[in-house]
Amino acid sequence: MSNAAQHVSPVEAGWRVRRAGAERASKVYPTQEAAMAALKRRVKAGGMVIYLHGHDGLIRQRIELSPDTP
Amino acid sequence: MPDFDRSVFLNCPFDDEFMPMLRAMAFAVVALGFHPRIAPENADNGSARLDRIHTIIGGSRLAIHDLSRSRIQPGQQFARQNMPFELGLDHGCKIFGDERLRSKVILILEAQRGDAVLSLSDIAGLDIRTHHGDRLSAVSHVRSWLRGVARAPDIGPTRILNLFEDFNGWYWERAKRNGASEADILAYPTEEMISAMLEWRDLGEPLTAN
Repeated sequence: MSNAAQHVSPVEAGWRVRRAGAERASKVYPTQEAAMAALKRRVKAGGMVIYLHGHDGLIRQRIELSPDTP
Repeated sequence: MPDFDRSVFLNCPFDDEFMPMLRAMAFAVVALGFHPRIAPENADNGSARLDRIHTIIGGSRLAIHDLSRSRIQPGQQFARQNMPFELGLDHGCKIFGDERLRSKVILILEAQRGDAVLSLSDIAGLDIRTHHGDRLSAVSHVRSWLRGVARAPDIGPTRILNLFEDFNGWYWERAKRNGASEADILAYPTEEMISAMLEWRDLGEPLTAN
């Protein structure tokens, strides 16, 4: 898992994607599906860990993406 | 034993609905350099729990009392009285205690404006702030209050919640490395998470669990 982990969390305007350790969100997507699709396009060799947060802010699911993930 | 001046007694509901708020407020206390102290309701028998509360109150200069459960919840016949009771213990400790205990400072939080005073009118005039059940608002109140009464560093509420996300990632990785499933991690008690918050801070707020 060589890519930086990403946090995907619901905000008022949609679903926020933020790289772990970053001060700001990289982008806000209208839906969770759109956020996940964008991350799938960005994943490189070595893979990526995504933390999917609930509306309460806590992590609900940990997802490992690789370039082979359908 | 945590330092008296850095200890923050968190007297909050322990139900599942409030749990994310409690965890976010505890994290704000940690991120601002203080030490949250809680007395879980189900950890021990009643008298031992009360002894533990006495110890925490006597050992904490700072206290946050959340009276969000002033209203009867759907399906309940009685409102929870533990939080007002422990607020009373803390207030009495401040009023009747020695010089050190008289330096205690109390923040009262409520979910809806006016609820706390409607159910406990004697506290009118104390420092009561409303969070509307919103984490960012609650963290903002905790931050501003600690800035004002204990010279907490200037870390913004949004940054605190970003750090909370980072901490949660580290917490999950560490738990998985130690053999926990996702269901295990979700079921871990809040006091265990608070211990991990303090450990994370002492490790320098890492992004990965090595």
